[in-house]
Amino acid sequence: MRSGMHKWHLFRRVVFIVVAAVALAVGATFLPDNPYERFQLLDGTIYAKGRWIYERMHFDPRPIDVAIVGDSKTALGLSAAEIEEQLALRGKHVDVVNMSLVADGRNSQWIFVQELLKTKQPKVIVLALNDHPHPWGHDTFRYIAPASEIWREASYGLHDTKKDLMFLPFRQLELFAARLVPGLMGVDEKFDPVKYAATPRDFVRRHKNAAGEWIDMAETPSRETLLQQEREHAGEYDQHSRLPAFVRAVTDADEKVYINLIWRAARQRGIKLLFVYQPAFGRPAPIQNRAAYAAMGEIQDNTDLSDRDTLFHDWGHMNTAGAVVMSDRVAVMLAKMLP
Amino acid sequence: MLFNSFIFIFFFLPVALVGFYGMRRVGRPWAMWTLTLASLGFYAWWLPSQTWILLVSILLNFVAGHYIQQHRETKPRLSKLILILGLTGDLGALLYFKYTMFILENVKALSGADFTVPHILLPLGISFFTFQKIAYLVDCSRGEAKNTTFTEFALFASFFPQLIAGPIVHHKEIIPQFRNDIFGRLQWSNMVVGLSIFSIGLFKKTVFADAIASYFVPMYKAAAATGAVDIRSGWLIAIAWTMQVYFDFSGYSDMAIGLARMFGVRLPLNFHSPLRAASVIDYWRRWHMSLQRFILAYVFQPMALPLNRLAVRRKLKGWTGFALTVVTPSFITFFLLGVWHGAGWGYVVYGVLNGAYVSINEAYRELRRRRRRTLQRQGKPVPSEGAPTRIAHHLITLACVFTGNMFFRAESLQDGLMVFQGMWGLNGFANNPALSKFIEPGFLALLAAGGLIISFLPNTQQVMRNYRPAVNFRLWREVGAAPLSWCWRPTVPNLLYVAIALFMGVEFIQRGAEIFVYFNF
Repeated sequence: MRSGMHKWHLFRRVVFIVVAAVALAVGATFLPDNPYERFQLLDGTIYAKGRWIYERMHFDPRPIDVAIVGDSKTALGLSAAEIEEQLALRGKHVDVVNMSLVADGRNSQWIFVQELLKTKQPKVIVLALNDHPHPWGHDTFRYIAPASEIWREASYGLHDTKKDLMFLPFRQLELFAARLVPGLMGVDEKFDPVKYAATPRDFVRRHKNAAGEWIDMAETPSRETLLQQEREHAGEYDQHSRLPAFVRAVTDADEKVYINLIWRAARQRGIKLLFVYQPAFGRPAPIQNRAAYAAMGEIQDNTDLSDRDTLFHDWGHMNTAGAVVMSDRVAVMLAKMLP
Repeated sequence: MLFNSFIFIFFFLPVALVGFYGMRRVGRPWAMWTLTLASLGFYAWWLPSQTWILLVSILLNFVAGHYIQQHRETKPRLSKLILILGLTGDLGALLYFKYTMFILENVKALSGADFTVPHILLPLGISFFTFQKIAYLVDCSRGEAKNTTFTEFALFASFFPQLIAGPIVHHKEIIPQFRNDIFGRLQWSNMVVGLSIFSIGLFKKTVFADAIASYFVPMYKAAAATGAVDIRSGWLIAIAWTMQVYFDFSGYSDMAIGLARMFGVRLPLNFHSPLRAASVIDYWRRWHMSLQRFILAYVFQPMALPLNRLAVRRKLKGWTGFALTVVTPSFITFFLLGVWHGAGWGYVVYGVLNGAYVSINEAYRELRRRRRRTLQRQGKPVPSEGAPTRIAHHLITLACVFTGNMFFRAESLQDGLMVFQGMWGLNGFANNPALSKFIEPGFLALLAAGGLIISFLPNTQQVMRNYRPAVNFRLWREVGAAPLSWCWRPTVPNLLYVAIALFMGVEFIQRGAEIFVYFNF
């Protein structure tokens, strides 16, 4: 090493490199992006429906009177068409959209609700409830959430903060590059009505699994198979971080934080909330924190379905027959709630 | 553990640095053992159940090397026997773990016998650490390695920056550094230089290699599924793969060199802009240099020497002598080099092709040398090499490299042949629409950017040339200067460039941390 370099206060040089790298990362989070392109980051994944949902909210002029926001259980267990039909029979002609995406995590649902409220005036938002509220965020949150929402997540100290914050500069760089050189990153600047119309959106009859295979949702396994599946998935029953309880109260609070945000936004606009409880097979568990949800909206409790093997496609999801039963029940509730 | 992972960058590396320099205050052996234990932890992170193989290899080679060092002169025969036993053990382990399945599968296919081929998991980095130990034992027997303590050897054999994929190091270039008084003393100059080299390597790996892989892999899979590669896709696949593996492995090597430097150790170079070479021989001098060095010293030279003696004894001259003394050892050396990469017919073809390339290249050189001599004898001027010839040399070299590398990538011989046929127009000239959709603007832009960097920018050690970036850099300092020059100094703009490389390198891990291609060997 040349002696000249020693004069440069080498320690400060190392610190400079590290601090500058961190500053660049923080700076990158403030790069502008296009929300439509954010949702396109889900293309080619099992969450690809996210783009269609965005397009339905922003590019389709039809209203959305009832929005169903949930996970795979609501994606497969509630049919928007069936609900519309049942409501029409009751004299309520409304547009129902199922905006559910595979996997748990209330934070992405909050992002969908925010986008929804930018362009539409729904009358009811249907939210999924499971036997155990999911303590963490959704996999898609880091892709679709605006930077401000990821900073908000960090301010709450939630479980996924670290990975979402780490991802944010990369995502913003990617979106910024897409903005600078359109077409380079494989995202579309403009809405394509043909692609939109061709996107599958109702999965109660058949849906594509992670391997890209179409699954016939009318199929019903034997009761023994369902029970076996339920036992195999017992470990997923109550997930939480391996942290002391008082820390967990902060880190594992996604459900509480985001359901409150959704509720507040809905209340401000006079939108009603309907919580639909979706049981897993063989788990007639009571709804956790029922009183809290009841204070925010109506509850459609379907615990009684948890033992009806003919309604399940697998231990966690309804089959087509189950979806019809659930949808009809929801339609009855909605008929009471809709003006 | 991957160098391009958050757990390594944000946890392992800072803890190892603090532990190493902290323990140096207690004493140098303490620091060395701290680093050895950290290195073993680094290795065990991947698959703890296989760490015993590395531990046994360290222990047995130390015992063998120690005996040879102590008794080389007093008991030469026994020392030689110990050397042979040590080498047999090392090579036997390599053969068992790497080639048993391949051999048994072929025996089964040829004989029609009905038996189950056992699944043998290849221990991580075995090809690298075995070669390092072989070199050590041979150096002991040659008297080049002396008085090595177990503390020194354990660290030498497990030092994590070079443990899994090289550079393959020699005793004589590493152990003296451990013995230096300043070893283990925190020098911020090493930190700045090491961090800068590491950042450049990380950038090459995550921004270029992994990005190219994200386009290349689906295209290659689709090509393998359709079984028909057109000429355009064939060349694109070959170029993309060569670029991916170059940025991947040279990036890994930079990271290894940078990390070692942070601990005050200089490693040897592994790449010196090989894709700017004007001949296949030159290419192999600059690609995976530490392996070439090993092969040259421990395979080529021991083979070439007796063959030269044989040629002299038999009075073989002209092309016959040339074939025996140059072509034969070159071909065998490069064949072995191909097979070293893995057990499979693709690697055999890769070795044969490179053996043939180098042999032809040697013959071409000899032909030109003779022509020059003839002209000089006749008193005629020797024409200098014109630009078209130079360009032709570069293009032919690249075409050979791209073609050979497809057999190196191929999961089966059929896959390699499929791309080969496509590249050389044997599948016709019509484009395969099933592959056209993979030729995206982003892919082409990435390859163009990579091509420009490879062609015009100085390599990492040329950028860092003021700070002796590698132990053997002096040998390469004046070789292969880049058309554009950039010499790094710790000025604010240059520190900022490093920060950008570090930031981009870390951020692009988010795309998904890919393992290094050479981890498979």
